[in-house]
Amino acid sequence: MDRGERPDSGSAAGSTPGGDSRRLDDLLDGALTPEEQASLEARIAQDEVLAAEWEDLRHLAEGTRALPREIPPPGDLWRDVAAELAPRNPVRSAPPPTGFARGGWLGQAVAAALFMALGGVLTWLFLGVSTARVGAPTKGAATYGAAGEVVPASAELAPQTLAPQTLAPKTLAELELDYLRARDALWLAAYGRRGELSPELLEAVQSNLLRVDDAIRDLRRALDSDPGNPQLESLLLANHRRGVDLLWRLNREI
Amino acid sequence: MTRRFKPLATDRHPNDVDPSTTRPVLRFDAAASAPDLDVAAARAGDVAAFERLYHRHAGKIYALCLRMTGDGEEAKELAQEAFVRAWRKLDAFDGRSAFGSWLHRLTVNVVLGRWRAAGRYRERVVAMDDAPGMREPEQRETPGAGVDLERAIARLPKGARTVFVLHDVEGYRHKDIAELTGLAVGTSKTQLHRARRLLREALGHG
Repeated sequence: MDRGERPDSGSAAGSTPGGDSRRLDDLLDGALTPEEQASLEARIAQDEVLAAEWEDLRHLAEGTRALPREIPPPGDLWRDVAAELAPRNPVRSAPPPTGFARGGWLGQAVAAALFMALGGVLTWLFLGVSTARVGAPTKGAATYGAAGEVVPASAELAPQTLAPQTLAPKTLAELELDYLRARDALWLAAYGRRGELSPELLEAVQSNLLRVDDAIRDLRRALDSDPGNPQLESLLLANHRRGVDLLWRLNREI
Repeated sequence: MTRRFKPLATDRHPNDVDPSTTRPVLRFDAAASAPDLDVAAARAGDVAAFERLYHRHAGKIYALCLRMTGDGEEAKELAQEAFVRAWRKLDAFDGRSAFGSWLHRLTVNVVLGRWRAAGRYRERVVAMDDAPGMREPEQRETPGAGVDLERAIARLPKGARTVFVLHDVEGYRHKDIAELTGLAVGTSKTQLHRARRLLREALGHG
């Protein structure tokens, strides 16, 4: 309901039966001033016809609120939708950016990456994960292949011990998907055992994941302005990896 | 990209207290966070992720289309168009609102846009002199509570139905409806008043 909106008629309350009816709508929608509302409610209390109309209106409003929010669509709707989904190109082509725009996006992207680096350090300090422990062999955790791809739950090395990522042979889009899938899987794994985690730990991880998301968003925008920029692509993947790292470490804490 | 986790303050539930410490236990809300992961994956071209988004939102989107049109076949076509358009425009989703809100508004625009393109816009939405009363139902039976009201909504004149559905069912403000439809705010209020009066009459009140 649109509380605070003023009635458009501007007519005095109760001047005509039609005007009364409109004013009841305004009352229902919370569009009357306190004085107008008090005046109309006093008249409703004294006028049986008006009171009956108000009761009907309230009954209708209650019925409307009780309507189901969802109605099951026909079973073949998804099939028809899927038939029309053209392949998406996640790194969109864009005209060469202007010097100003390019500088602005690059600046934001670099700032986001630096912020993430700081956030990462703070997280590790907060979580109290020792360097030795981070570098120790693990099992059941995600890690990264030679091409930078994520290899969930099978590798023996922690992310920091691996060689720098390269974009070959996988494309940026494929690598992003790998990270997203790994992150999804790790998140669901943590969710399944959330009762074993401390609130402080969860809060720290959530906060840093939000920062990762912000950095990824900024880098994506930068790449829209400067598609194919290897530095931006590398930063983008690095931030995806940070998100996976966070959840990977969260799962290790369980 | 949107926030993937609900704000911490809303993750706390009065019943979620560790009895040993009386400390609130933060809840992971997979249902609230997973869709945003799917948005990110769908943006990267993952059709399976988009299908998951579809299944989360299809009921609401189809309900919106069905109530706006009062016609099952047209509602299905419009819901299909809305999801296809959402797929194409995912890059334009900047995450400032929830994906569901973005998709909802996109769907309203799809419905109104279809009517505009078909040249029936004035007849359906803008004209104040469309059918003076309720029309005969064209379609469906909706099971469960509210069947009478659903039927009555479907039989409303198109302009009144559009405003009633957007305002009373979907919670849009008159100002928003005016922006979406091109109606004046006063016209939107008049159509809403008319819809409510007709519905009360149809339901045996008023």
